[in-house]
This record gives sequence, structure tokens and C-alpha cells, in this order.
Amino acid sequence: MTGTEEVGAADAALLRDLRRMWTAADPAPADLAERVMFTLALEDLEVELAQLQEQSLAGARTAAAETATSITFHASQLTVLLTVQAAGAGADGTPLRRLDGWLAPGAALAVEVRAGDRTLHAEADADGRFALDGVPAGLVQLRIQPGGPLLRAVVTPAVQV
Amino acid sequence: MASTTSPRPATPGRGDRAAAEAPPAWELAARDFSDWRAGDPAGLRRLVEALTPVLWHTARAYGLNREAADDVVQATWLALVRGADSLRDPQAVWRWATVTARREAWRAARRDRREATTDDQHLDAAAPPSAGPENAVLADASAAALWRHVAGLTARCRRLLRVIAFDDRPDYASISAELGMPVGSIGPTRGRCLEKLRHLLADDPQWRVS
Repeated sequence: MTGTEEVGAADAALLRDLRRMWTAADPAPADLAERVMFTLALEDLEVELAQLQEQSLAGARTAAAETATSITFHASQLTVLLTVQAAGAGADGTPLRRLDGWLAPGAALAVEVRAGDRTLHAEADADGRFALDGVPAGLVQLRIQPGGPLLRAVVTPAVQV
Repeated sequence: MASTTSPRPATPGRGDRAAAEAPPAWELAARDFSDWRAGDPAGLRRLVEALTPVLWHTARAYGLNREAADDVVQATWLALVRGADSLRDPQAVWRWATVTARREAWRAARRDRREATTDDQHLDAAAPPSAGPENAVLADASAAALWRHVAGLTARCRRLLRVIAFDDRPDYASISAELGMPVGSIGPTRGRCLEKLRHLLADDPQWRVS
């Protein structure tokens, strides 16, 4: 047994039709490959990838790559809540965002935010709260550095803010 | 394993390689992986762009909602890049990625099912965002007919056909474990599912054989 079998011509044609149908009816989010590349650009991949639990905008992550306003990420030892607000525009006209975050359980951990080609830094307080102003709109990824009870760095999937 | 399967359509967006006689997708994946490992970062980008839709449909075949499917795709890539050193045979990269995505999707689906009340809810997640043949993306009457009749198949058929539609060299051993059927019955089951679908389509005037 080889574990695979050849498919007859008629079956192959019908499978091609099915492939086209699913590709049209339920495509991968248009920015999924881009977000994957963003994650893979991390220098250190020995991290835990948090899962996106909830995003407040219905239709977020769809082909339109809408902007999130409230996002929850879940990792084995940590939940990350993030709210995003518009915060004016930079000198070059780039829209800016303010991120308010909460790590649960609360812990004073260092938080890195990768936004485009910039990396911003914040420190969560003992309750796990942190805030960052002036984050350029676009793909953003958080990295929570290990410390205290957190043994391994947690990174979130990249999201549009 | 030599590929004698019928030529599969080239993955969209692959430019000049999308010729009629394009090599099978798994072989392109092997080349891209080798290029990347040899130091060409564009190889990884090509690999990600070509394989991500396949992983997506694989995850969705297991009834995951869009966000969970997204997570499965991301986790699969992270695992692949982390484990790239141990993946010595570039020819195996396609299968490694699809098997990993299926395993992750299967686990996530089981986790969800324990939380969801009915399996049906779960399977509905595989419906398109705005279901129904009037869906603009299925404006083509023929595609809409296909969609309608696929919905009439059993969940097991839908899952198996979606996995196979995007992966013409699936690893039957892992599918066997995940779908709870013996390896030897996957081929016949696939045949029966396609036969049933063909039968439904034959009775539908909206369907035209392409």
C-alpha cells in the first residue's frame, strides 16, 4: 500500500470544479499569507503563538482586512486583551493608534509591539496593564517577554489595527 | 514516489510558472523550500503564498470557523519554519505542511466540539459567509449548483472531498486516523462520495459538465 491512489480523469475534473468552488465561496483571507510572513520574520521563533480568541469587528480578518477595535488573544499561561483607538496621524500622514492592553493574570512584564518595521516597547504594571501611543496603523504583533510565572515568550498573530 | 497524477492547475499568482505544463504544486513547494534553505528569502515567500490557501481549505474542511482556521495556518507555518532543519527532504515539505495543518485542525475541531452543543453548528461553520446560491461569488449557476449538492452530502464526504480537492497526494494514514476510517476504505469512500455528487449533479439542469 502506497498510501495514495491515482485519481481517474472524471474524478480529477470534478475535484478541480470543487476546488474552484471552494476557492470562490470561502477564500482564505486576502492578507493571511502576508500576516504569516510577518510572524515568520520574528528573529526568535522559540515562542508560544497565542490564538486569536475574539475580535470585536464582525468580518474582521475577512478579505477586506478590516481594522480591529478590540481583540483577545489566548495562550496557555496568559490572556492578552487589547483595545485599539484612533490617535491622530504622524508627521507623514500615517494614521496612528493608541493601544491599551491588559495581561491576565496580571504581571509586570515587558511588552514589545512590532508595527511595520518599527518595534515599540511598553512595560505592563503589576496588574498587567500597559498602553502605547503613536503606533502606526497597519499590521501589528505583540510579544510578551518571559518573566515571573511566564516561562516562554508569547507572541500574538499579526492583526490589522 | 513518482507523480503520474493528472496535471493539477498551477497555483494562482505564480506568474510565468502558471503554464499548462507546470509541475505539480508539491514539486514547486519543494523547489521553493530548497531555494529558501539555500539562502534565498524569496523562496519562503513563494512557499507561503502558494501553500497558505491549501492549508486554509484543509483547516476549513474540518469545520473550523475562520478565526480558528487562521490560527491553524499560522501555527503550521511557525512549526514548519522552526522544524525546517529537521526536514531534510525538500520533496516532503508539501506533505509535512498539509499533514501538520490537518492534525492541528482536527485537534482544534475536537476541542471546539466539546464546547459546542451540536455537531451541526460546527459543520455550518463551513458554509460560506453569506450562504446560498444567490451568493455573488457563486453567481455562476453551475458553481451554485455544485455548492448546493455538496451541501447535500454527508459531513464525512464534504470533509474528505475538500481535503482531496486541494491536495491530490494526501497522506491516507493521517486522514484515516482523523476521519476514523481504515486506510483501505478512504479510496472507495472518496469514489462513493464523488459518485453520489455526480449523480446529484446529473439530475440538475443548472449543472453543465465543464
